[in-house]
Amino acid sequence: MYKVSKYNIKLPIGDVGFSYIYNSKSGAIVKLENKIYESIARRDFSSEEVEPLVADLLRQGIIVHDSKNEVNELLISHRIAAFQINFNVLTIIIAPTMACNYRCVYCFEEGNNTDNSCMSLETCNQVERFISSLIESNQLIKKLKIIWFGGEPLLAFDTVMRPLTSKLQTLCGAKNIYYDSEIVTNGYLLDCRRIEELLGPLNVRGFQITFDGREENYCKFKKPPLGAYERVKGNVFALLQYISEHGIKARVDLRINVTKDNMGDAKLLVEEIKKDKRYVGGIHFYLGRVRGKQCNCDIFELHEFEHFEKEFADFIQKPPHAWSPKKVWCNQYTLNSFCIGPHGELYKCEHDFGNKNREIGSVLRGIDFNDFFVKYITMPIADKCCECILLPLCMGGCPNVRVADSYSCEFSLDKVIADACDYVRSAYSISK
Amino acid sequence: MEIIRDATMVTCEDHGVCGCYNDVCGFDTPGGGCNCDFDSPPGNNWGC
Repeated sequence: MYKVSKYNIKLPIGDVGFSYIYNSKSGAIVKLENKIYESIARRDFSSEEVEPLVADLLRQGIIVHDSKNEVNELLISHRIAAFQINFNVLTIIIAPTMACNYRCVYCFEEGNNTDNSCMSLETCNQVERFISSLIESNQLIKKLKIIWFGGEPLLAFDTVMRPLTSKLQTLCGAKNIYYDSEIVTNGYLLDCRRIEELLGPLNVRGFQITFDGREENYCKFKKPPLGAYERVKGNVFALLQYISEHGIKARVDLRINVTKDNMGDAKLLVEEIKKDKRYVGGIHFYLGRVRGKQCNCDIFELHEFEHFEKEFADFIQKPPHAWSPKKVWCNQYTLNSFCIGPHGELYKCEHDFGNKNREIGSVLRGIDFNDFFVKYITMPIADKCCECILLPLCMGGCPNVRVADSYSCEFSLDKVIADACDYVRSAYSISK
Repeated sequence: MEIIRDATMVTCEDHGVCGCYNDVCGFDTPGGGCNCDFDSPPGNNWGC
């Protein structure tokens, strides 16, 4: 016998005679005649209209076997994903320095950042040996992904990024592993020489650069060096030009961190960039929600942010997307991902760089398996989250929040429903 | 019944984890650890 999945969400599409069901556990969206949906809801699977659909309904997760406990299934697959080390990608986030030439008002590292030194050559060698040992211990790894973080990683371009990349590429070459890289940078030092090297020998294929508004807000929020706004804009245009001219498959994300103070500038910034003669296209604009405790800004509540995010998505004509289920919130929760600080210290999350209490080992001695690490990897999902219909989409949310015995909803049911409705309307060209 | 979004196409079983920090998937954690290539798996039209 079967029952209706507890993760079915009926979408308010307003198409008379039909029900649209989104299942947050499978990610499926199906359209059913109302009478069929009603039969299913009262567990009548034997009628001649429903019976032929049972196999498809099961496959789409709309119905499940009567005996199945869907919550337990999710919790087990979550735990397996955390401990499974047979993913073929090893992701390492490296902060070559904690020094930064900006002083962003919302920076989560502000309280932790007392050290402006760069990673030494000796530590670079230890990083290479640490990564080599991880690869040695897992023959299934096919790709090494390095994400350059900081501080501002380009401050350590010559002293760390270039030499360490060379070592890691040699390592990957010897082991027949694909080397891939991304960078999170403020873009101030992203000049032509570095662009050429990053996209060439350093094989960086993803760039995340933050703007936070036009010049006045940019300076107010980011406290950059003099003239930084125009300089970074020029650097971004040069980056896009290089990517376009050389036919490189690289991604440029322009992040706009917003509070109620600078929200009015987000769309104007996009307009300003798109109207610039130097813009050749290719930027993915997106919003970040400022949540920093140190920040004295007027920050958004979740529903306020989602409202503005929708407005912004419509403005940039972002294609509709329905939310997909995931086994863990982020890769940091798994055993195939580590963060390495400038002194070779290890963390699970890049948001912990500089926080001694959250170190889990070092590249020299390996993982300490200290209490914090064990808690991070084994912590249960909050009871409240286990009861939530959106559990399959977030699996308890950010582990860095959960490890502090808290939880935070990353999105609302209203948002998930609205996005799924947009997806359906787009698929059927149904107007609102 | 019409399948508007096919569950069998939603997740990338090759990678198992999808934590994109970009706007394709809607997750914005810097370095959130996307293990996916944007063009895989074949036929997937919403990013990862």
